[in-house]
Amino acid sequence: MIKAFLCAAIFAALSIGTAARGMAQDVTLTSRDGAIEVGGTLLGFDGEFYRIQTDFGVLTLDGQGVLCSGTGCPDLDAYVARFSFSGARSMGEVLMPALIEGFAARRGLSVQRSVQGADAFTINLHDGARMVAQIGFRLGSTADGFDDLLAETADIAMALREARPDEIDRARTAGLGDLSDTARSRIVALDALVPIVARDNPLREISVARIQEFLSGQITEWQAQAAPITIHARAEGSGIQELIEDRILSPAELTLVSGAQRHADDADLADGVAGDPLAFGMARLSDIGNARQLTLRGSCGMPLRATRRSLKAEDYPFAAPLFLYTPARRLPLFAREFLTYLTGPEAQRVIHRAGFVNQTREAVAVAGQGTRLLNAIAAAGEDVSLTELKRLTTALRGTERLTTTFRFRGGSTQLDAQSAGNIAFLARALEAGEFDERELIFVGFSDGDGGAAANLRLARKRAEAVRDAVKKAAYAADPSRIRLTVDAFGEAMPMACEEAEWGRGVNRRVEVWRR
Amino acid sequence: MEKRRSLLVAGSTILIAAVVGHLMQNADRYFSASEPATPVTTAGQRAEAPILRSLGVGAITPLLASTAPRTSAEPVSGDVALPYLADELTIPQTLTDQRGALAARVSGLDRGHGTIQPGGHAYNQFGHPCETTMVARAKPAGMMAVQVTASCKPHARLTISHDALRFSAQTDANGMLRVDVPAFSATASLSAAFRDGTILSAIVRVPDASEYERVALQWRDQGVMQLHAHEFGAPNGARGHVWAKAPGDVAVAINAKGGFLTLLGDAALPAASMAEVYSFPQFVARDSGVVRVSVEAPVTPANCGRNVQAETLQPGVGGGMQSAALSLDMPGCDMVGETLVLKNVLRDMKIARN
Repeated sequence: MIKAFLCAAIFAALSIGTAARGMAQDVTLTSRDGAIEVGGTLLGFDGEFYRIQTDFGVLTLDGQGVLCSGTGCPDLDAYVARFSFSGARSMGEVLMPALIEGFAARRGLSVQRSVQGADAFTINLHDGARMVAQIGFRLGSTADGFDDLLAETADIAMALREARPDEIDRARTAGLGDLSDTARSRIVALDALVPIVARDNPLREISVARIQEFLSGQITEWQAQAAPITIHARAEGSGIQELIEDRILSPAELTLVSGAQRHADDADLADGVAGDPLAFGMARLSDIGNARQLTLRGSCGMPLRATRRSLKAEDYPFAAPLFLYTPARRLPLFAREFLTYLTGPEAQRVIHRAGFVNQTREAVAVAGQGTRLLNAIAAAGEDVSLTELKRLTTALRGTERLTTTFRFRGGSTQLDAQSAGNIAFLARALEAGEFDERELIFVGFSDGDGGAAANLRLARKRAEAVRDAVKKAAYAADPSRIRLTVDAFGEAMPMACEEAEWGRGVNRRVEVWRR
Repeated sequence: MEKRRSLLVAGSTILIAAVVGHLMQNADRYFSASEPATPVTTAGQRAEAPILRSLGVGAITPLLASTAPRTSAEPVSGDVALPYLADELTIPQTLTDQRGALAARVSGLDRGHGTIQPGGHAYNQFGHPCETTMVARAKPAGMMAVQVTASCKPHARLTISHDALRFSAQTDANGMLRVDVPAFSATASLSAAFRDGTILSAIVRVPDASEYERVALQWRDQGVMQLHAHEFGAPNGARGHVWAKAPGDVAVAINAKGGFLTLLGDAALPAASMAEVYSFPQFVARDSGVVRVSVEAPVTPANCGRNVQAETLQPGVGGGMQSAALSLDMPGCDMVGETLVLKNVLRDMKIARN
């Protein structure tokens, strides 16, 4: 009972979800040993916790620890978990329903999808004849999702980008806590912004500068065809357009050309580009349809292409992971279990099958890293000595690079969202003994700005910081079975040209090598 | 000798009862991967409870009478066994005849055929012995050629099931039915349930089933929804737009150039289960790309403003097909003539180049 009261103290401040807000009626909750009894008015039951109004204030009690008596007690067998998703169409159309179906299949629940219109549907899950969950979906933009989360008309927001400062402020003002807290968001799958053209367009590669010129209308004609370029884009206010503005146009103080052909969803955009040899657009990698992805090539010649691996390693600069944001209040037990399922291996298979890039770690042997070595040799010169190059190639020998890579928010020492998640992923793998009797080397690299010696120091510091964070998160791991070491090579082995901030951002990183 | 024979009767009766009972209860998911990989047929005779109670020679007469296949005047629902009248010609049998029939049956069991013939003592109106079997064999493009022979069940309604797929069909005047069904897995099990409770089953090995990606849409009664596939950006009405009115060609699929739609179910039957299955080769002889799969629902005076239902089937994580019920609120009757397009209830197919 003491435990139950501790629970009460901890959760008293939290409000219960919109689900199962029952009629206010009298209940008595008795501890299983009968020692303690609390009476009051039931405010809600979420499948796991009772929330009651008592003389002492609002208490939240673990349903497993108490017995409920009185007219207000919920029918435990008739309890239906109700919660809803709102936000990015790109996530709500295929990815999230596929994951819910996967979760349902694992639990032996039957799935019924009830379509209310182009923007709304409900997924009902039944255990035999009994409904166990009713999950609502509202499809709009990422911003709509945050709006619904703030208005408490949705329980989970689907977002193609992180919450913007104004959204974080509004949430705080509304008493909904800190949306930038890592506990409030999670990455479901990985994705990226990629330039696309029709298959019969002869173009194969493009520079970021040229993308900016195309999208802003500074260049309006295809050079090779001497024909006008048609720019295709998603509707204004959609998450992907916001990303394009934030990541590609705004840094160069540009805006999207007026008169672009707008599309209601990603499939329309991809189909529009695929069907028009004069078209150019930016799409999500997970839905380029029958169009062709262009490789990014910088002025220094290093190619970057969005692939499953380059997304996992964040080596591609315009990564656009898919987020879920949850409120500070408690969601129904079923919803929480679903969110836990999302990080498991089965969900990763569903994500892959649905055509998205999952977060399963991969390892790449040195032999598969030829381009990186060429980059390293090409970058050797004034700042990177031959001795340093030799040290790098020696260190690489016999190692594999994990796709788990850590990158930082623009110029800061703060990890970006995907990397922050990687700390936990790696820590869990360490705890599970996945790297027992192996050595994990955290290898720091920097951009080429500033002196080589200072960069090397900075790179080592970052690598140590990441190693320490992983060690701390993996508190249940056996330290005697794993070796976590640190190395640094500063600006040797760049991955991207450094003509712009996005390139420098790709180069500032901590890689993880396994030996 | 007499004792041994009656024991054999008892043994085979219990076996039949157990097999049939099990089949009736588990028709949907009866066959596991450990079943024989070659085509197998099983006769679906009904065994009744009284047989199990009496094991003596006296039990032989009811045994033979009740195991003779027959069509029923009264449709039987579910797997509840009801008594019913045989309406085909049955020749009265002497005890000697019956012993001979028993010997034939027992030797049939000994040969391991799994096909139990009741001695050919029941005949249909053409004088052919009653026989109820289902045979399936693999065809190109991951298809199964299914043949149901129920010579004493002419014009009989049956439901054919494979994985989560289900459709209604009817035998012809000779009690025959031939239908091609797409296989959802390399070892495919099929069952056919007649309304009199007879259940037939077959397993067939379809090696190239896994080379085809499939999705399906199925419904009961009047079809409102249609499955549409747009292959590699094919516009409406063009080649590569595959749907019920342009179902494509299996030959094209065999050449890895396109997909095809299989229409299943007999719409002439009342409240028939109908299905559309779209198949596409996983690897194609051209650039990789996407087949957009959608479900369309034209708004008609009959369905406007109403709720319509169907079921979707698409590959699940475990390898089998995953089904989901689909319920759709049709727009009001001012929208008659428009078509609702559901682009995402079925996932698009991402096809890799071979």
